[in-house]
Amino acid sequence: MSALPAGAPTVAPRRRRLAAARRFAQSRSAVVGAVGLAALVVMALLAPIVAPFDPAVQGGEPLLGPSGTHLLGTDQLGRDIVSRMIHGARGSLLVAAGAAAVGAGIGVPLGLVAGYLGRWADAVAMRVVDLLLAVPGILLALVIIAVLGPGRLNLILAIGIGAIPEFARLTRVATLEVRERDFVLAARGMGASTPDTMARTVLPNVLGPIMVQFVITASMAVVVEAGLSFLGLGTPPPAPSWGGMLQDARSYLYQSPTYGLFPGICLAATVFFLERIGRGLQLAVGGGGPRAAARGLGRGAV
Amino acid sequence: MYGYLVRRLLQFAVVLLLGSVAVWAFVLLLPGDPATVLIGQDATAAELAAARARMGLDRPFLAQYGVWLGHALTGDLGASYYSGQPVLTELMDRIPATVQLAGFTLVLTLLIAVPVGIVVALRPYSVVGRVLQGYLTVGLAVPAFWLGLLLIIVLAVQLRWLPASSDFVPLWQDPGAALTSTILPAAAIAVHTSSVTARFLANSLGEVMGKDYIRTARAKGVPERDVIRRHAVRNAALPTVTIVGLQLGSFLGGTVVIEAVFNYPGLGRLLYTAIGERDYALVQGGVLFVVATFLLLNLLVDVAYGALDPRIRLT
Repeated sequence: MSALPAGAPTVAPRRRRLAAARRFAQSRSAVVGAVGLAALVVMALLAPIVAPFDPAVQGGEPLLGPSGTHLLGTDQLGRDIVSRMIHGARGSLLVAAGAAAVGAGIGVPLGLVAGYLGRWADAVAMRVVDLLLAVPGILLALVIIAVLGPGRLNLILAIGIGAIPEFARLTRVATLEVRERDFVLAARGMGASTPDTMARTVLPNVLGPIMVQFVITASMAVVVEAGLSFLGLGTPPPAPSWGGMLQDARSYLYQSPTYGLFPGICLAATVFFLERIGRGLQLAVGGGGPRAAARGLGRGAV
Repeated sequence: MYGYLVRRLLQFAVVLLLGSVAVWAFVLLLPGDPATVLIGQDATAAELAAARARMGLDRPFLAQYGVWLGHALTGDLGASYYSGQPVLTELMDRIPATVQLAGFTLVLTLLIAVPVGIVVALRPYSVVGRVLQGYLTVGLAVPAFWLGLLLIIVLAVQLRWLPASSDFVPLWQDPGAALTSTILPAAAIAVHTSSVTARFLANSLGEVMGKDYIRTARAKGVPERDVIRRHAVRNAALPTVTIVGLQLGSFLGGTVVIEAVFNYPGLGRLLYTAIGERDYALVQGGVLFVVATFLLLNLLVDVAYGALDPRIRLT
């Protein structure tokens, strides 16, 4: 029974999706972002091949400046900075994607239920969202890590939980807009159950702004992960991470002033590429709105 | 208006109550027993039981929460496990530093964001407009704590113009020293937040410039300067107030990493240290304080919205 009501409205979204993909590909900023991010992902995947040295080997002289063998110098334990930077991309990208997935995975259903059912469900869900929004992202992550303990999976959860409110709010507003539209009423009229209508009819029609938010959240998560690693509570130390490298650079400011430059450039580049993709998506699907973007970005500030 | 106010206050109370439950329950979720943290690992079972009884940990959860909430409402947030000082005193010690940094950051953010936002919206293709758009792109991408590190490397380590770590000097004691010690962390944050704010202002200004009342103002002969200043910017500024309010909220509790970079003794550092020392009473009190402040700020922004714009009827 559910196939019929769900089948009817999916024709239009499919065509719209194609058109949106074309608009995305035509936007220069989006293509710059997509190519840049793809390069970063390839670099992270091929890290053991691309990196000139083993990032964990403490062979060389410590705190060297840039030179022929060590392009960007060595850290306080004589490890090659370039190699650690390349390997550090793995943690950053993994946590960013994971945290955005956690945020969307919890936030989207929450917003969908709140927007579609309204009344009590809406009131309860939105108060929880208000509360989550009231705790600064990094503080929330610190507290969650205190509860769960360190480790990459917990890091993803900690940052992802902080991203729930934006997803929930966005999905709720988009759901409110389509809730009374004809195709939703038609699906219900044809006997689709409430969960079915939400998942198969409403959700595909609110995906645009959610995709934009996903990318914005990932860029926020990159910065929060780096911040937590900088504080020593992110990626556990022997593994290279950009934030952890910046912490080392902070400790050896006077001995090696150039150290702090490069991991930060990686961070900024990743955020830049994600932001470009987010913009391109926003233009392509017409979702999100500048306010949503500003909210997401504002929270990753410090 | 009053109906709206009452409903918002009620909402505020509900969320704050929810927050108090979450903050209180957080200690239950933690691995380990708070009493063990207090008296040490090698205490005997009897000592542990005595400590638990003294801390009220042997009573039912609901009773524990009730007692805790009752105390919290009268301003008694318990004592820090670590220093033994009342939590409220510990928080009050750090609040001036945090408020000063937040204030500096807010002023800098607005000083940059308003002119940049206006120029980018009105002259996007001029040379200055393009340069400023470049600033917005870079400002959005550069993480504040890395910029802070760069500022330290250049201004403190290389040029030795400013101190590498920022002790808190109250503005009312020595304005000059307060400025030099707070300016670097404030600037590091403000580059990012001003980019967010300016882009937002530019977007809403761009929308407003296409409105009929702008055309009307021009048609009746209002000079372009006044059209922008009195008709456009005033209308575009309103939604920007929301963003700035949210940002101010995050300055008051979320500048943990920046404070670590600059060794700045604010609220964020206090809470970070407290988490590391497993000083849960302090963490509870601090997070509750941050949440309450943020909610209150949000409430004020929403109410101010209605007061600033007579078109908005809050019902």
